Amino acid sequence: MLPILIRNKRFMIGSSFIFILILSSVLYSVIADNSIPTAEIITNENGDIVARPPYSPWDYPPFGTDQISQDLFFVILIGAKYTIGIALVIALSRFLFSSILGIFMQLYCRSFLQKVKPVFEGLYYFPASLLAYLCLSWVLMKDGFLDGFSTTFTERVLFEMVVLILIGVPIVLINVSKEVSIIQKKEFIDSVKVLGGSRFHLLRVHLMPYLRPQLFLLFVREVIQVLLLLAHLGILNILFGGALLTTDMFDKAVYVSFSSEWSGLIGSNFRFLFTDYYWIPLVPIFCFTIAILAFKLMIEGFEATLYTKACQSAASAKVDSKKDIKDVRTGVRITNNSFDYL
Amino acid sequence: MKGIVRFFSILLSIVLIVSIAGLFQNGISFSFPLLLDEFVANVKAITDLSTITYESSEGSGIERSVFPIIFEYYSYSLSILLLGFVLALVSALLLTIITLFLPHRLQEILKKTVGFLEAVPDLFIIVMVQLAFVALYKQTGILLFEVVGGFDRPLVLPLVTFSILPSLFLYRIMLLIFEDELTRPYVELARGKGISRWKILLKHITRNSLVSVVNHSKSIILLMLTNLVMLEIIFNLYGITWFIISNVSAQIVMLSIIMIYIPIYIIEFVAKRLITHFTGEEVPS
Repeated sequence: MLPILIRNKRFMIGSSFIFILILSSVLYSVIADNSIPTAEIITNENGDIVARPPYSPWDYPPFGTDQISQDLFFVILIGAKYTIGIALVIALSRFLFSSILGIFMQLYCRSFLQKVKPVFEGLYYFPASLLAYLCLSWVLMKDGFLDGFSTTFTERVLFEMVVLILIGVPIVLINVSKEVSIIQKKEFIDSVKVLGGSRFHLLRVHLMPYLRPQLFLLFVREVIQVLLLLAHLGILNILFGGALLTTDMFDKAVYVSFSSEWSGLIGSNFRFLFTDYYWIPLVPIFCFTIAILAFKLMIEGFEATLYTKACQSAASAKVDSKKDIKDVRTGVRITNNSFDYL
Repeated sequence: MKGIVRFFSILLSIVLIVSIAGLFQNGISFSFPLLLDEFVANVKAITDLSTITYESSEGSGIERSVFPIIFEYYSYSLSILLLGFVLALVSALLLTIITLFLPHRLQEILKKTVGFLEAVPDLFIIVMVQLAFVALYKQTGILLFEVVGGFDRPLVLPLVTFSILPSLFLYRIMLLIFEDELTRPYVELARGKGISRWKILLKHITRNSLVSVVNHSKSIILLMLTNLVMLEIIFNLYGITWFIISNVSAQIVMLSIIMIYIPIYIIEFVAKRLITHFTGEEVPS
């Protein structure tokens, strides 16, 4: 599996982009201690002000500066490790919880799973961002309006993590159990059962080879979902770890994020979108898009390798290789659940 | 009968989820007796809808019943949602049929690009469309559409922006389904009889494929629901999610979700009945 994956361009581009982004972000915080260079006011030889921040991306490449003349490129770079790190942690815990529970319940207590399922069915009708907003708005936003938060920063971060994890778990769980049940319908499973394999043996030896790639895909999709959710929450002014209400230079009330985390950057700068300084919120939105597309490239590349692998194994079975490859190609019949991960 | 049971079980599930979320409206506290109280209160609120109130202007302390004002917001959102879906469906269908007449290599490239493009966040598309129209206005002074909403509730620009992503999704799904359908034996038979490719595609394949498309449309509508939140916030459209965000309370969220859920459920139910009626295929739920 791995050698084919390394040769796949799309997978490698996507994964190495994410890897380099996180690595450089961490390295920068170690080497330069998160210092953000600021842009100076440009004067000509008479001392007249020619230009002043915020500079646009064209005047101050690559990303321009924000309203307090910080170089946006470095702000984004520092925020990258937080945003992608948070997304990876949330997605990983969602994934671990739900895949362990999902596989276990599907194998050992399927009837219980069928009974629990309807309880969570309503979750499909909630936009995730709206539900998260309902859970988080008081704790992360309104609580801090009057005289500071009544909770500590760690409490808020933990609370937000738990909420964002739990919102995703039921749906991923149902998807995992669906994957397992699809494999359970294959013919060889019956033979395993007839030959006396226990359920754990069935899982370890026969289900896992099929499940592992599917689970990996599920995980990366979950990372994309979490990144999207974080961006949406940024727009809704739910900044990670809570927002501070302070006043800006025009004495207007604004929310400020604690770190230069991307969704916080979107949320606190969104009001600039329809001014002449539109790039200040656009840059983090753009970075979210790039990060999500990089993960999507990983998925696409991975799916392509799975496909070539299926073709190869069909070819090596060589009874009638051409026909078999055709079977692999057309065998991917579209079922009712094919697009449920959307 | 089974449909009715399912309807109410989902309804209760929505109430339960809102009750859990509603526990965090005054701090981080979780206990089962509290959850039970909240759940009972929410069920009561559903049976007597006039008790659900909102603060008419922020900080004023005046509580008003959400009826009938919520209908204005609701009908606007629902029409954007459903019209957006129809628009996406029509454009995806057109694109698919055009694509199937393109050379094979081009089709493969298109499939790959679309699969990649559909990951572009809704946020990015919405913001870019808006910036483009603002830039157009600044350059030429032509205001094609009302860009930022408010009480006059524009329709065209939000609708077009809204349907970009779902039409990409539908396009990809339709391409797969159409190709799948093209491999069926009856197509070969029809070709053998000398029926033209156009006619097979337009008459038989489209009709048969639309059945499977309906099966997948639920997950697309639910995806569109998520996009609707962003659309209404960024465009400042006075729709239902805008109403929710500006008056956050568990009961308003519950009421709105249920009001969105009911038409989706009815459409799904009717569509399934129709499919079974026309094709004889039982559609699993």
